[in-house]
Amino acid sequence: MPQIVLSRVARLLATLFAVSFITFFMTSLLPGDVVDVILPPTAPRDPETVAAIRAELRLDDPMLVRYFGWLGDALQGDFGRSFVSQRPVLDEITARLPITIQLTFVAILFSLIAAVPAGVICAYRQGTWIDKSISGVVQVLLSIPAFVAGIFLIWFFGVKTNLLPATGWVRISESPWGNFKTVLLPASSLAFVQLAIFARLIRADMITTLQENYVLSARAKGLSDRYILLRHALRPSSLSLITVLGLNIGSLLGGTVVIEQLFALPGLGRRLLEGIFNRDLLVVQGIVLFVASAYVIINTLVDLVYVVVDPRIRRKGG
Amino acid sequence: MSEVETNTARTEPIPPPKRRPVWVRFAKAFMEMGWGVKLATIWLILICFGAIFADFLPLKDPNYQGFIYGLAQTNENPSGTYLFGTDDLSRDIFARIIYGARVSLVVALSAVSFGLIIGGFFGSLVGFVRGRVDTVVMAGVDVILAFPGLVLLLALVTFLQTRNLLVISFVIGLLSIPPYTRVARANALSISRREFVTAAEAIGTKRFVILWREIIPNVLPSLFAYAMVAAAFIIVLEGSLAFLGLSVQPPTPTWGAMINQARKDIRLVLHPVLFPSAAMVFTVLSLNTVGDWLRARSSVRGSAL
Repeated sequence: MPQIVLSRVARLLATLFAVSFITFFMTSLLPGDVVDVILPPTAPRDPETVAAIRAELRLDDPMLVRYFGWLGDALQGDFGRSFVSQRPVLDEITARLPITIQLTFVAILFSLIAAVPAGVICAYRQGTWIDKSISGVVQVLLSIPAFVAGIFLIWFFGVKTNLLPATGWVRISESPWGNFKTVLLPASSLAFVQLAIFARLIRADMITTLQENYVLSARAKGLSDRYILLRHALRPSSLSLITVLGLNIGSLLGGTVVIEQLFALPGLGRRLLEGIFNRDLLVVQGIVLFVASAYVIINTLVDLVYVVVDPRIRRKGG
Repeated sequence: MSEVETNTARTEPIPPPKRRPVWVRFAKAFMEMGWGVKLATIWLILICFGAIFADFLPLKDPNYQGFIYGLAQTNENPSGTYLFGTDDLSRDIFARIIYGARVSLVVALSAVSFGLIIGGFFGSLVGFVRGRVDTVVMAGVDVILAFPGLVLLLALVTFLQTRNLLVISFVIGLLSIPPYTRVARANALSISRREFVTAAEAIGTKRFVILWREIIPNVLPSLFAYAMVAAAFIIVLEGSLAFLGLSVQPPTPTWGAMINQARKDIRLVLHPVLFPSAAMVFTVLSLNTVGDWLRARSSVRGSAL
């Protein structure tokens, strides 16, 4: 088992290195001089300012020196500063991060709460009208992009019935209830597609599991259907669920960019977009590096959890 | 089950299967579909037809702003003249949806062709050859897939600074290669362990010929099924990009941009956001449905081999 952990960690480090390399050199795709892109059109372009920026970004150094200098700074938490707000990029990230984390977390929670019962019922009553109608709804939910779902949620709850605020964010420290009301719609719009993916996965997994011999023997022992479904059959399915959950955090993080823009939430995704629209190079670079690294690290952790939880894998590797 | 029948000895040589014309095979496959899949196929055909022949169809000009020339109001309700009404710049929504399908379909087509040709080939190759090439190619694939798709796309689009249909479809096309490579490799791995591959190796067939004649043709059915689902994903991806105002520049109509523009008037009218959303959801739903159907078909064929 230690070998597996070590090899996963080694692979993680290699991937992180490659990710940082790509993120860094993406900026060289920029046409023309970087300084021209960074400086706001109104800013004065006197030689001293330009020289200061060139020195700050190490633009006169060779490529590899620039890269390793940048990587060294980034490892110490220095992602440079925003050329628009003048604040360090790391501060910008940490200020916005809690909102995005809460949004993602609540979205996963919502989707699991709906997906697990739906998937289990469909598998248990496979081929009946219950299965067919739930699967039909799931198939439709799978095809509704988060921003479309979000717009119609805003229309129904924010405009038509006026039950919930259409946009904006209340911090949990200000008012937990207000926070819950502002997170409800954006998290639900993110949850729909995930719900559909999870429900399909659980259904397919459970159908296979329910044909296993140990389920048959549990039935023969006279255990109740409910006990078999929840204790015997759901547990192996939950493992593949964890893996897909880890992988889907990537699309969820992409989804938060769109959803934060739609609901005007001051999260990390919105900051990324602001950076893009203001051509605030280092903010974009910093957030992309941060998000991609977080995604890679989460998936390595998921892999490791898998190793710890599933005795079959543990034995195979050890 | 049919596997049992294949084990019985055949005395007569099997006649080579007759290749029917494409449209006959398509019609046969169409008749075998359930009604849901049939509807999905018809919708996809209609959308493709509309997008290709938009210039020859009796449509209004998608960029004609009626309120300037005095023929239409902004946000007009659906009527005989304006089938889906008009948008906030008094342009015909129906025409814009048909023309907007072009962007979605071109981007999806580019992603599918990049993915199938480059990703499919390299995936089949490394799944069959394995060894060091496999390790290197898959390491590259893993690194690209380490970025959340939309985030990487946003960064690339920012740094490229030009946003026309060519650049957008090229970037999305390149980003589509890694997942196809992974799917093709997984299939090629299991196919290269099959008896007919061992048999071909035993009679001394050249490696490249095995790859071309045995591996790739057997990888393709599941790859096509994946392509449908992936195309649905790409349409949502391009839609998200357009929704953020970072896809093809206006006034070129795209579904995502139409939705984004219309949502600002959502307190007044719903239909300008309803129709493009419906077009996108129906298209994505159809692609998913046909993809699932293809996957079910290709896996049945796989087990019967």
